[in-house]
Amino acid sequence: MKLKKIILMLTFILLISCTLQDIEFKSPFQKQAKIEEFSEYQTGKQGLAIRFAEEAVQTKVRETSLFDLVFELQNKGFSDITRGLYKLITEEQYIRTERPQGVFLLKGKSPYNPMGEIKRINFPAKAGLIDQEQIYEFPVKTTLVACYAYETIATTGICIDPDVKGIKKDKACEMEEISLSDGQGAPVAVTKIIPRMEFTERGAVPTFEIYIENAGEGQVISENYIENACGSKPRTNIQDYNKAEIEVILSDKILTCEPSALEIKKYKETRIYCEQKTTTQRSAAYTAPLQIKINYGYMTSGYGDITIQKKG
Amino acid sequence: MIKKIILAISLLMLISCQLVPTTQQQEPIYTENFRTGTEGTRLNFIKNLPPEKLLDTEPFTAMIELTNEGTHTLGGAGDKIYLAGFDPAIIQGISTTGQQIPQLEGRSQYIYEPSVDAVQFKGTIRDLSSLRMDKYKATIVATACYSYETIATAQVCIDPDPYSATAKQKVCTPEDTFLGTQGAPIAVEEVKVIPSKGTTRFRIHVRNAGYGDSYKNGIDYLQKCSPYSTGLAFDEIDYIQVGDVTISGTNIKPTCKPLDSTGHLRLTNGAGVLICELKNIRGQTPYMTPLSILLRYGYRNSIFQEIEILPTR
Repeated sequence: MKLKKIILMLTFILLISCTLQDIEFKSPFQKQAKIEEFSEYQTGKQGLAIRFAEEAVQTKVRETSLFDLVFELQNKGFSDITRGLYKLITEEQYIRTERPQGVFLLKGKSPYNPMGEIKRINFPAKAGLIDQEQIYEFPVKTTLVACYAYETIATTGICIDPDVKGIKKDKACEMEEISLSDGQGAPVAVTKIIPRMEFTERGAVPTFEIYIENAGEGQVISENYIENACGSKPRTNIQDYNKAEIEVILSDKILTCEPSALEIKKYKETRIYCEQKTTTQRSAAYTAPLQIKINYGYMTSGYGDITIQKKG
Repeated sequence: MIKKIILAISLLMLISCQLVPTTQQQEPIYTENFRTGTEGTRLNFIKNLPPEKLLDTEPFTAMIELTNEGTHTLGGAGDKIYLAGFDPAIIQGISTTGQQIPQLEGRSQYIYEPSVDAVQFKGTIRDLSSLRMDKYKATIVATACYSYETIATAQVCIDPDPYSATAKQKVCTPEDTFLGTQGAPIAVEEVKVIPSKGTTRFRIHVRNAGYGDSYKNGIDYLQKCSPYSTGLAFDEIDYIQVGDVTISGTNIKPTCKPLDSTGHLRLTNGAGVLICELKNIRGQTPYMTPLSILLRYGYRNSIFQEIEILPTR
């Protein structure tokens, strides 16, 4: 009887300890793990990536045969693509397709979709005839051009120190240059922010020198030019290339920036200067959030090769 | 055998009774030498108020413990504590006018334990996800701005005729006096006595021995000490006001140099020298007398706490 009681107690203890292993103390900061993951996705300097899906197509086709051209679109950036247009460009004499244009939507990277959304676009095509008699195989290049509206958001805590003369010794933070080398999960990247306090007639104002670059493979275009670059509208206005809009917010104040129209060229760093309209009345340093939002269109392309073989 | 055990136990009890300190040996009711130390107000964030990490849905609460380690009573008009270092658009509802420091008695011959109290700041945190921020890191600074006083007394020897030709046995010889600290952040470290016939000069060495900054005495400067004001200017920081310098019942403050028009002495690298003199000393015989120095000043010290606010999604 006694032995039975001991065995029962031991079994009970074993059961409880097994159950206890499954119970985790849910600290509110377990959520922090998820948030840290989130910031992992807001890095990188890519937006839309286009790949010719060679494994899914016949890269060698006979004259007049039907085949599929498959391109894979992947949103490797952080923002969602809610307005995207694509256009297939081929030598029509050799490759003919019915619907070479279309629209696409792709979600960006997130903890639920770490690689970003991937889509395949299938173009049913027909091979043409090779004119030259001596040529048995003829390579034909196909290009998929995509244009999409995108957004770069760079948010960082920045030190605002009105004590330019260095009168106060102990400070909450130091005003210093911020380097953002990892990108923000978009092809247009904010690379550096230099904060300064400047004295104006109005008083001391925080100012920022912001450096931006086109770090992606494609070209920046105005958001309003997407239909022209990849759609059916005429491509006439060269001034819409390299154009972007910027909004810089310090705490909850929108800053005034110069130049007001942002131009982001490939292989050239763009510099913009922003300042707060109102002066700061405080004398002590503090950390404030600085948010830089850049809206633009982006044009990129991917290539694939098809070889047409003579029938006879 | 039992007897031996009983004897051993009795012996043990007797010895242990002797070893227990008797309650008759009590600490003195008052201590004469209470004017020691270099701290005025000591500040501490109470643990987890605020915590190092918090979510943007939680309230923000900061509690600061104040200890008056010095000898002057705190909590006068204008003595305030402020919370800064954060963006008020993120942590909202924290008063920019600060909180009044509660009255804290200074140490004295009757009060030898420092007085302690606490001050609370409560606010709310803005939703961070609307700012597309993964986290907001800031260093919270609690700054205490208050008026303080240093009272220093030194026994000095006054010799009316230090270089007289006649050899006499003297009661004392004028010499330098080291004072140490006086239970305040500004300390009178040393008094050098420079005797001459009919006049004795005193070089009074003063130093900021605390961890903060001294600034000019007055309610205007107390208000400028606030991190939410335009701030103290270069010619307002590192100053102390000479309240009184008396010797043998005579006020010698008017002779003190270098003081500005408001009676303030500037400290350079935290130290300053005040030169005062006692003139028209009569008699022939040296004598010991107390030299009393009263300094008034504003003082500011700060403590820091890093916090990280995370958004809830």
